[in-house]
Amino acid sequence: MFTVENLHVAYGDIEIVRGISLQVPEKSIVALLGPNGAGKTTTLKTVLGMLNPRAGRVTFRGEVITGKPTHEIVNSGLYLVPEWRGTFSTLTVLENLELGAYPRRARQQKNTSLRHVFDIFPRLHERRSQRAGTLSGGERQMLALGRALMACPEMLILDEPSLGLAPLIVEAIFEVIKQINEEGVTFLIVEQNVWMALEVAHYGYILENGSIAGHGPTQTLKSDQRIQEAYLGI
Amino acid sequence: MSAAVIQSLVSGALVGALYGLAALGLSLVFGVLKILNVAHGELLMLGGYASFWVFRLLGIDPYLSLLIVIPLMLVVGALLHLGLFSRVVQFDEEHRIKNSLLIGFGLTLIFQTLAIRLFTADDRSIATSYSTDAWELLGIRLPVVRMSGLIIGIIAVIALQWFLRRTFWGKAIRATAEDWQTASLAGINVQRTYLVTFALGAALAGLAGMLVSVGYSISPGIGLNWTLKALIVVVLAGLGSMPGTFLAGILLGVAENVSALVFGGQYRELVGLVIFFVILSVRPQGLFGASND
Repeated sequence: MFTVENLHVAYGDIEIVRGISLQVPEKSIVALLGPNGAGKTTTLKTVLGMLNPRAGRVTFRGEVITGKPTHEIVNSGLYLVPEWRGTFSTLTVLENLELGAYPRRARQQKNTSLRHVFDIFPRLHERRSQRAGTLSGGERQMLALGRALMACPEMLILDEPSLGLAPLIVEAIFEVIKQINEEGVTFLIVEQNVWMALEVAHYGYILENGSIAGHGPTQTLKSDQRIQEAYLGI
Repeated sequence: MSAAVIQSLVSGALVGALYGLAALGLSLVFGVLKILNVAHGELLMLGGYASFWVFRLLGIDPYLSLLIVIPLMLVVGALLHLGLFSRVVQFDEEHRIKNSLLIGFGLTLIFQTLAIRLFTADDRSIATSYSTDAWELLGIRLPVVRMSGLIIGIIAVIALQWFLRRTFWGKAIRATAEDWQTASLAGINVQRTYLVTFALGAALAGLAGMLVSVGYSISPGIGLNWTLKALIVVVLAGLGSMPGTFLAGILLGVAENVSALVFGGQYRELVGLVIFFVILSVRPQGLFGASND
């Protein structure tokens, strides 16, 4: 459903992403794992059309999306929840959610989606008229996910969904991710929290210094000794 | 308080409503595109002339002429944005401001010279059959054409507020103002949002221009003065609140007339600049703007 083919991205002369290839099959959860500075966020910015690649291409549902403007990529059903959550702090929770349904494909279902999001996150319903800037970190992540769901995406990319959250909230968020996946949404999860990501994902890629250092089904990755030593601290 | 004092306060509030209206467009464009369009006053001047000529040549009532002037100014705004400012908004914020200032000053000169060539340097104002009519209230004179500035200003603020709070486009504009990158990740076409906002700013300037030409007078050189007033109001109000901006305009108008009463007419212009400095040093986010906490 989603492929990255031999992607190279550079800031000036420094190549950050050096030939990444990966595939995300429909309705699966794929994890892209790696330490800080491995090139994860740069890859995502390029996928969403915020940076231009030096070489390579990205396809979504069989169509090349490299070079398209961000809003068109989003409107085609590929939605990113960025590391900085991407909620608008001057807008209320409800306004943030309504704005989630901005893509044309989502506007018709706005009210149905809103009920669905409030079912999943009752907390957001309680806080609906509060400004998003007053929410806690966990609530803001819920809002970010809720807003993504409002867009009726076919595929969701989450950049560090566990960043800065308490372990219990991280677990709750990952439970929700599983639930949304069962409803048919494809996921690419970019994480430093390798253990948590491997729990929920079907397949994983390890990113090191801008290239893929290894990949495989998560069961295989979890038992791989190198990975256990480097990332899982076993 | 004597009737003369109250009369002066009321006159100040009425002219202040136009300061506020002129500031709405400047504030909107500044807040969303992060560019400072110093030719905003020239857009006001153009809107004033458009109403004047529609009245003079076609005999159309100035209030009715808004049906022509506002679409015209939307188009002028859209063209200016597509031709010039859309290139500036590709830069980061600091360069947006600097480059927009250069372009704005250039436009100021071009529009002024064009207006002198085309319309001569004479003062013009629209003289209708009701231009000298006034309401009397407890001995206070309320000229109808100036009262209309206040009333239309209030309607414009309510309409703008409704647009920004209730419609998809309005929410997209507010989201873009807060963070354009995140807005694009929400599927918002940021470039189109900028275009709509700039055109809307030009239309608001045109609306203010029509009210100036009917309640006061216009000439090719008024632009810079109106830009300055609008800028003072934007600083006084802070970004982000349209009703606050309009209210700050009225405050400035009243403050000008108070200082003229207390210190004499030659100090009328000074008070705005004093407010400008005091607000920037004491409360840089303005009276109604949100601080960055």
